Amino acid sequence: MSLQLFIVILIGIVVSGIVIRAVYRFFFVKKKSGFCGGCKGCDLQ
Amino acid sequence: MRLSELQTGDKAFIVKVNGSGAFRKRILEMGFVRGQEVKSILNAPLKDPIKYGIMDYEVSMRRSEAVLIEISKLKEEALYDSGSDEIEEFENEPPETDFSDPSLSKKGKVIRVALVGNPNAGKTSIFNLASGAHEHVGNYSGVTVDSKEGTLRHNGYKFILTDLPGTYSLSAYSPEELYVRSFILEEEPDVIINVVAASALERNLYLTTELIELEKPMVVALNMYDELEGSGRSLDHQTLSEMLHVPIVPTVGKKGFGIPELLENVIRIHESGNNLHSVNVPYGRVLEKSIGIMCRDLSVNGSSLNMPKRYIGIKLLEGDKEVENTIRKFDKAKELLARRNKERDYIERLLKEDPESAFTNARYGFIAGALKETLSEKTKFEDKTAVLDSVLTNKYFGLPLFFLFLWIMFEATFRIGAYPMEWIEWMVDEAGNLIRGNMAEGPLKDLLVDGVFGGVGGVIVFLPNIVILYAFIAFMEDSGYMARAAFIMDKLMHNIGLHGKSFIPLIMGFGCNVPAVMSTRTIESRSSRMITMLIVPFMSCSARLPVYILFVSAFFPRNGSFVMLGLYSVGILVAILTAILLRKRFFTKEETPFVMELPPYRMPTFKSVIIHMWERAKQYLLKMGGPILVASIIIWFLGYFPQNKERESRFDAQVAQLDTLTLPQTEKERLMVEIEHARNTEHQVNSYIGKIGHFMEPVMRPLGFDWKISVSLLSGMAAKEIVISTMGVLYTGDSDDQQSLQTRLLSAEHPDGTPVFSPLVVIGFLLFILIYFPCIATIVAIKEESHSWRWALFSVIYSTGLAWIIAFLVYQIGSFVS
Repeated sequence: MSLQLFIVILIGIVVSGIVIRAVYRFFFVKKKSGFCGGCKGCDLQ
Repeated sequence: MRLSELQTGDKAFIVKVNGSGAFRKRILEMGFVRGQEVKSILNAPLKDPIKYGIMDYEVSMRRSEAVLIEISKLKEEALYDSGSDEIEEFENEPPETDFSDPSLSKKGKVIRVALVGNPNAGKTSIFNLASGAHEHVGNYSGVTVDSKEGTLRHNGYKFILTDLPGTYSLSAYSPEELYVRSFILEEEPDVIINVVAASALERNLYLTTELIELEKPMVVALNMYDELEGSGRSLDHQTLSEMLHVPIVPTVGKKGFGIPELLENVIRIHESGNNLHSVNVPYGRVLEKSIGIMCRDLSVNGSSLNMPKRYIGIKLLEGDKEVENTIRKFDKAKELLARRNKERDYIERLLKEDPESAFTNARYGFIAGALKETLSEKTKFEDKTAVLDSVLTNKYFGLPLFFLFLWIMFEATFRIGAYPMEWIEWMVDEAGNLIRGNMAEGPLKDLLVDGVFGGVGGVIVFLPNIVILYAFIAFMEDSGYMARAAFIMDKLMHNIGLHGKSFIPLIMGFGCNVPAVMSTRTIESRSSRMITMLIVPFMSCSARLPVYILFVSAFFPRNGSFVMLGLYSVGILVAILTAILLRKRFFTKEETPFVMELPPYRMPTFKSVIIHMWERAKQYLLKMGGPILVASIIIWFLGYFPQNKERESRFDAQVAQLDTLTLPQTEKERLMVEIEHARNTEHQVNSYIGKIGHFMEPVMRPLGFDWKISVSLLSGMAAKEIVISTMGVLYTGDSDDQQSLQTRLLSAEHPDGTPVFSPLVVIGFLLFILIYFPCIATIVAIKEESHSWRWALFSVIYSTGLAWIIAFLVYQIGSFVS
């Protein structure tokens, strides 16, 4: 396997981790409810 | 005589406020109480609403609302016929507490402080200055719609500051009032800083009287003190402090004047702990008798609420639904409420006014008495606000000036922004070429060149345009022109079933739809709030701006500003039509008329505009490094894989064969380009993204969109800038040289050689971008604000469906005609 492909696969794994984390936080982590009622808008922005 | 009949420039005195519910309560709290002088200042360009001056501030009100207020030209007549319940001013001597007494025991070193005050009193300015935060401030009501927390250290103490939304009172009529009250009672901050706008002292102190009744440790920040002095007035704040038995500190939040003293007073109050005794607002014999009876009954019933009994008694007599619901949980609730009803009848009979008005009048009476002894008369009448308003809200110039301002805003965003945009574009191209020319062939090089520089580089070039747009929005917000825009547009908004205040979230929507949707919570009427929130996504947010600029500068370079203005106008038109539809179909009942405060004009400071621009630029850059980068990499992955060795070797063989042919160099180069083009096309078509695009294509083909446009629109659901980064990855171009995305789009062709972006496709595409929902964050915000997934889903389906229909009509009718 070439070094470039190896780095690209590593980047792919990191990006997948970021996406899975974001999806998990979006659906399963409730923000401490403020006046906004825990809206995720600010996080997403 | 009714207030609506008062001629421009004339003055009169309030006799009575008719109507009911939230409107009446709000109007009373804003100072429209018996005997108060009111002046009709000017009419909006479309004759409605009208600007009135009362208690040293200005307020906008529609004729239909002003007709509910009875007035008299004679003060005696206004005061006549009221019950003879004179208020014994300051009858109860405030107990002595020396705030500076060093013997007071030291309490905890952490002080939780809540900033409470009227809208636009400057709470966030003080919060920012004290805590070093950069929360958004603006010169209009309701900028803060959420509580914000910040910390700071002073004299060995750690302060945890909470900036609460602005509120005129602690009634139970609007979400922010309820929120502030429940925050104070449930979170129990150690000290409240009541931020009072010195320029409209009388109205601002109304909230102070309510806070005093809550018997919580409090310090009053007399903010914008420079404006009070500027009007030639002087305030004996020491005497006022003694009367209210609350420390009062003059401050100028914008400049930091008085902040250390304010914090020192907070420490003193905190250290004095429960030794504090606040003054009771005297309500006069009749009301005091009823309050006394309610307090006695509450004691008998052994209430264990976290509110003082006197406060509960007053709120029950005022008819506060929230307190009433709490009382209903008591064992003897029925007896208590029966007694309350009896006392309300008694008050109404004796004072000849309902208890709500009686309490409001009494509070304002108390404030007037206190200010009479401490506040001097105005001596300087130079009023720049009146001069500016006579032009900016003039019946002939008001609307044209507003649209001129919008045009200048887009012209500057488009034209001035084009220069730095070119520089950044050049830097991105050079960086791309550097990698292209010096790195060995391989997937990482492709990822960097096509994924990162093609994707993120395509979006980052629009940073200057975004910053310029936000500079204009910051100017509008900080100067007070935003509220005027709402004022002059009120009549038009009224015609579509909304009111002027809905216009502010719509203008904010030009910046970002998420805070715009959140800011709708300052609209009291649920139906208006819902309609406003559902039409905000049609306001072209700054994320859509890069898409517009890219396509407009590529395909309509000569009339860029007009095309842009046209796009924004179409958005507004769609919003208007949607509002009319929603009002007729789903929200037929308008619940609350609206009264809006018009703040005085203030020159935005250079620093505040720069901070605003920097914050936005930072957000944009963070977005580039976060979601846009991630999305670009994902799109690249989906476009790069799967690799097909057989196909690659077939093209490699063709290239090798070409090398062996003896052809002129130019012909060889042409054939090489053709082979590379075929290789790229076949690879993209067979990639994962190609398969997704082709799956979508049958739906989008009637709009003239190819699969790449379809995929770009799909990825744009996460954030609109991703449309560009996706195009940057997909429209790679065939040259070995890094080309700007604009050039690549202009040269994009179908396999049959026809251009992908015909004028009809571009127009349809821009309209699709404008109308389909802006991003997931906005949909989540709609869900949270409407408390319903149903409305969030409605927004997605409605906007996407409408975008498809409009793009379809443009393409099909346009193709048919041409």
